[in-house]
Amino acid sequence: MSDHRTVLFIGGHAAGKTNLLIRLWMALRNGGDSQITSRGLPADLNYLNDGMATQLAGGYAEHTPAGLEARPSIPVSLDGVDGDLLIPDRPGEDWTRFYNERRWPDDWLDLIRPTTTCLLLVRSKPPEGQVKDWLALQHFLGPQANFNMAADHSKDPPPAQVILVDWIQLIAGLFQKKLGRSVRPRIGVIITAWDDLDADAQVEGPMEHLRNEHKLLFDFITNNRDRMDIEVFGVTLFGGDLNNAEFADRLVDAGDPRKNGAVAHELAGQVEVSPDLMLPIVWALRVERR
Amino acid sequence: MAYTCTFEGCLFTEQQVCSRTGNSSPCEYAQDEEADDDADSAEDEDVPASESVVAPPKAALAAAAEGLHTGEELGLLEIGPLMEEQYAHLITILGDYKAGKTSFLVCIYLASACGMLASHGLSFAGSLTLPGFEARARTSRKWNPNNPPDRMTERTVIGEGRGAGFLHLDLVREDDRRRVRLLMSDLPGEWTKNLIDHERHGERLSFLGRSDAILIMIDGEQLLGRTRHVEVDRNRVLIDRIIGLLPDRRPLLQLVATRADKIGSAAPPALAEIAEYARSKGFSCETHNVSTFSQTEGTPCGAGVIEALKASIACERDPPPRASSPEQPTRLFGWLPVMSGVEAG
Repeated sequence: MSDHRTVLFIGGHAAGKTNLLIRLWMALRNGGDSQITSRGLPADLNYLNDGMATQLAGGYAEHTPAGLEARPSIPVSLDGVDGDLLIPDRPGEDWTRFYNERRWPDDWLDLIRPTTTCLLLVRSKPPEGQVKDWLALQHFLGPQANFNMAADHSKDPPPAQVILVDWIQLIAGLFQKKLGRSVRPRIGVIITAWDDLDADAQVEGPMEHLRNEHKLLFDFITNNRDRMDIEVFGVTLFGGDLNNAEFADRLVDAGDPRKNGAVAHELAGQVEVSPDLMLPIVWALRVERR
Repeated sequence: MAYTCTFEGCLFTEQQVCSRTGNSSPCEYAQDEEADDDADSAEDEDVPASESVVAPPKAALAAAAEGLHTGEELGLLEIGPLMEEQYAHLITILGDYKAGKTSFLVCIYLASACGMLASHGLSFAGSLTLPGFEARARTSRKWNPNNPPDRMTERTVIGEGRGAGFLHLDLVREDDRRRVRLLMSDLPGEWTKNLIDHERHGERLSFLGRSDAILIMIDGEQLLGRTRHVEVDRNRVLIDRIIGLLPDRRPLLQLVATRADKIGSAAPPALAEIAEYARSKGFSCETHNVSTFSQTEGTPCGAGVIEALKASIACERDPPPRASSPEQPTRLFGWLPVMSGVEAG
């Protein structure tokens, strides 16, 4: 297929890949105002349908089990051009290996193409977060912070921003190796559970969130826009947390869950919020052939 | 010496010829099968056997087959393409065991990660050795208010037959938006000790001649009291050894006294004495007192570190410091468990 567009979802355990993918499938089925339209049904719908049923009942789908060969191909149309949207999902363990072992999944090598976009997912807030560096503690919490702490974080995994920057650099390296040094990788960063942030942070937008909380990643993006296409989105699937029983009940009982959810973005240079959950996919698919 | 090589197609084990370089010596992809066993005894009998040891980087070599960077330190062959791509400031960091060389590197990395560079007019733009920095930073993530650690990083060890290792960092200077590429050596203290003791150990430091700056890290406490005379003499010898390895040009020489939290911010007279000797030998020489991980409330962590780095890359213009981000104890500042936890919505 000459114009085969591919979107890869990349993210660790807590990033929310599976539920975003299922929610996007739901949005695509729902139609609405999105510029992307469905051209038919994927051949294998079991994985998507099961997850959709769980979400419509007010719960999160379970994360992708290791070993699942989930490469659902979804036929779509964008800007009047037909295409197949391939959104392979992979378990977080595979991406842990990408950092630790520097191995791109073998069965994904064929997906390194000029029309492929990578979407990297990172959660807005962890279930529990803690600053674990001497300098960061002092920089943000004052000179006393280091002297009052008793903890051992020496065996904890690396921080999110370090892993994401490393992934982006690995991906850029892969694209350049396979497609030439002049290739311009297209990489989106999706901040999931955007609704988990307080109202002020949501108003400030996704880049400001990165600047405040993931400065290494913010600086990397800001200083590499001349080398790659990169955008940042904040996504809330339903406008609240389905693990909050009260919210989930209200969502399911009071109306159609499919009418909820939003994307915060800065595609036009200022912070905007769109009800079109497919917006990051529209951006991802608008890759020009390079 | 028995080697295995992870470079695809290499027959060094069978033929003792490296298929990457064509040399009879192994390149950085070769692994000395006995290195791990030998690491503790390395080359310096003065090193306490109880000290923990960083094994030579061996994870991630699969990356070589896919043409990806390993994420760990870069060897001399690997820094070549980075230097071709754009001008790179090669910074050689010398100093005895426990002088604080690796802590200095970790401090620069952590300053990049938390935004501390911004007040110095710098920002992070990339690093092909992030896992290498992370591995070095990991042991520093321990706090015990009643018993601060004697050292914050593990001892650097390079396996027999392996070359020098470098950590890579790209920064952007905010005033002119220029990208500054840094390649900073992370060498075991034994390399410096051995260079002082034996001229023959100079060969593996042949890259000194290309260095833009040479930093000699000296334990600040050793520059005070009765040990200072020995330190002055040893560092004079070191400077003479360095000269023997250099072509005509003299890189900038930075004398860095560590543990400023213990010795204060004024340059110890012994440091000034060494600097005077270096200048008499034709070096442009500066002195710095730094504290990487301070144990004293009056001295902040990182004191003097970025100043020493900026001097090494000749950042002469200092934009006015910017206000740091507001303090909010519940915030993340880059920390978030990507590799464990529960699935988010």
